Amino acid sequence: MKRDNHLDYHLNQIIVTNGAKQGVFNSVLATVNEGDEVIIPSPYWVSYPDMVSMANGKSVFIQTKEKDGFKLKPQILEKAITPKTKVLILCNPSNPTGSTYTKKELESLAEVIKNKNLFIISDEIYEKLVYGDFKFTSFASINSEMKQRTILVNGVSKTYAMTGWRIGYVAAPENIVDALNKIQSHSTSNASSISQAAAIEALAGPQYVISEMLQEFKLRQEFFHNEITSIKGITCYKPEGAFFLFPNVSSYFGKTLGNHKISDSFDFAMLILQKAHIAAVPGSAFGAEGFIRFSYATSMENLKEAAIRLKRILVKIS
Amino acid sequence: MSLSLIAKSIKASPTLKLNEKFAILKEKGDPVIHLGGGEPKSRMPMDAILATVAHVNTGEVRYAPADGIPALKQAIIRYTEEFYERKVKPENVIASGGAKQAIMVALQAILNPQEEVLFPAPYWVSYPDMAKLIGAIPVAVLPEDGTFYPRLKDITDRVGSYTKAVIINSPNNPTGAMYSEEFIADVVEFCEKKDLWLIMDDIYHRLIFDGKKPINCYKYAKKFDENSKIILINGVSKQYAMTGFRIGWAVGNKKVIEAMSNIQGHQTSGPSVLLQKAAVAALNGIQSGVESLRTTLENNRNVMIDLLNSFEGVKVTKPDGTFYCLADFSAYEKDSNKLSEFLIDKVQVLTVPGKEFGLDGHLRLSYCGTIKDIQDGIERMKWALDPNSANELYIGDRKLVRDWS
Repeated sequence: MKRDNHLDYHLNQIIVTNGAKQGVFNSVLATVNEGDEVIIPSPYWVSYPDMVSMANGKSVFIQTKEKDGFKLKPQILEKAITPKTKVLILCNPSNPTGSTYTKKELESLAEVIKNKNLFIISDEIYEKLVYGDFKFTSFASINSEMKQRTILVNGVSKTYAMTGWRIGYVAAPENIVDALNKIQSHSTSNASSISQAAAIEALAGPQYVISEMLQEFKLRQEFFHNEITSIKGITCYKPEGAFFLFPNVSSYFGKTLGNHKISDSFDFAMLILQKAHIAAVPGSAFGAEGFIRFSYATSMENLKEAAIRLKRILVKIS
Repeated sequence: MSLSLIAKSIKASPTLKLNEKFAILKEKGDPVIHLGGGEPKSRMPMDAILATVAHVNTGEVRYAPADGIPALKQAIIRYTEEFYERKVKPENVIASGGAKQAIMVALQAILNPQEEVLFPAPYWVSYPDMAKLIGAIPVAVLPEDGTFYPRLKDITDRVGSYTKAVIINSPNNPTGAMYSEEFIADVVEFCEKKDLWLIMDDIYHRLIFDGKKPINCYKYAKKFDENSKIILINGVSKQYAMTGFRIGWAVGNKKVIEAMSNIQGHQTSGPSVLLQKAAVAALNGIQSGVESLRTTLENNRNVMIDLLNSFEGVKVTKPDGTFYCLADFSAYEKDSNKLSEFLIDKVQVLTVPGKEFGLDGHLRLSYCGTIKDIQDGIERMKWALDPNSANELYIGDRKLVRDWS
């Protein structure tokens, strides 16, 4: 955090978790009371609303727009904040859209939050997966007040392709980390010492593997984005980060292919799964009907084949 | 901005906190003896080590199903058949991040806020806080006859309309008491009659002494398969000395396991595939390590109990299993937190205050370490507490002087 984001944390402001998921889950549990509101920009990562329900909190979704690059606008955030708002969950870069906030955009969100009584859970698990000249900014680094309010969640799963090791971490003010520690000590104990040893080497070791991975991802993103936007009826925001594309496929709704009627993103996903053997996740799972999530964390070969199949099938829809 | 009520209501696991304290003192070079530990010192099975290394060497340590990899489920199915004579299906099994997570997600799956979960005291430190984590009410039941062996009446007296579940941990942490077969039969029957969930925390079931045999709770169950409300908990931590691998499991009806899997899926995504592979190898591999650990622990227990029996003022119940005993030190000090602090400060022996397990005036002493630790540890405690002790004690070349009375 110091090396990459100029953030200073003490050991008692950091907890290692069983995946970033446990970091977010326990952060919600540590802050949200029954009936408290948690603002979640939509499209959102599938687990957030369930985590909030498990804390008996209330998810308040803010629908972001494709034309805004699926980013939360400060004036819309301001309207959504009520006296019951306890937490804002920001997934930056975002799963499922890949959208990533610039420093300026985060500053304008911080301006709104400044005088409000809320925590920010900043899920930065895709931090390293940003492309080109885009510079990632951690929400905790905006200013010292925001650092006091931010529960920063990260992990080794995405950056180092170490999903199966289940190591995440949280950096936050001491009292929050203390609470997270208590909760974790009763729910799972520590993350495995073996996995922690592996994570140390990944974080401290040579980092060139990341830039190699990024170049490869960038190529795949360019390729697949070009391919799908060349299909009539599909529009797609080209995101700054993560490894997802989140195209708008709503122009196909109401149309049919043989016996298949496409009335929503679920139908669309089922159709391409059955007819073209392409697995994608319907936008409705992320609270964004009309869209579909493609992951390009797969080989270029697979992407090429997928593009061919997709075109072949979609042209038949009328 | 304040923390949630739940975060405020729970306290950190005292045993894990003690481990931290031990590590700090040890690093300072202090000659501290850990009689508060909760893990065997034996080697883990070679099969498990090899399986871990083999999987690491594939370079592919990826996401796995949230409820456990099929191979581990199969190993658990076989284990359940061997020890519980019950053939279950994969959908009746979930692998978790330690038996702790298995219990946690089980409670999350079955309890609503304000509902009660009942368990005998002394109890494992995490049960009350786990209940509080979900807004439920923990009800600890201390046996009325003053022993560590509850009777059915102790339970039935406290069951009310809010009671939803009972947790039985036998052999018990912290007392080492293994409840009688008759008691287990009674509880199983009672819970079925009252339609209560019964969580059987069997994590120590093979670590038992004096020729005792593990008890199979299903033997007394009349409800089977999808009607069964028994949730059986176990894991590899204790019996295979694999605490750091964090692999436990639960067996239960399909519906509850499905709910637990969903919760676990959002909570942690399930345990690491690498660690699951190690658990498969431990469960399916050579079992001689379990028996040798059991024999070592039985021998250690004998040494510790003999020493405590000759410790004037201390009363102790001989444990039937685990690697703990809960000894009564109230003749010296009624406040177990104070006593534990005193022992670590004066003679560098780490013990766990009985208060954390719901019984003040007692200390939990572990005999999972070496015989030397047990002997030196008890000797130092005796020196510190017995007013007739010599004025000086040597630890290595350090001289301690008794400047208290």
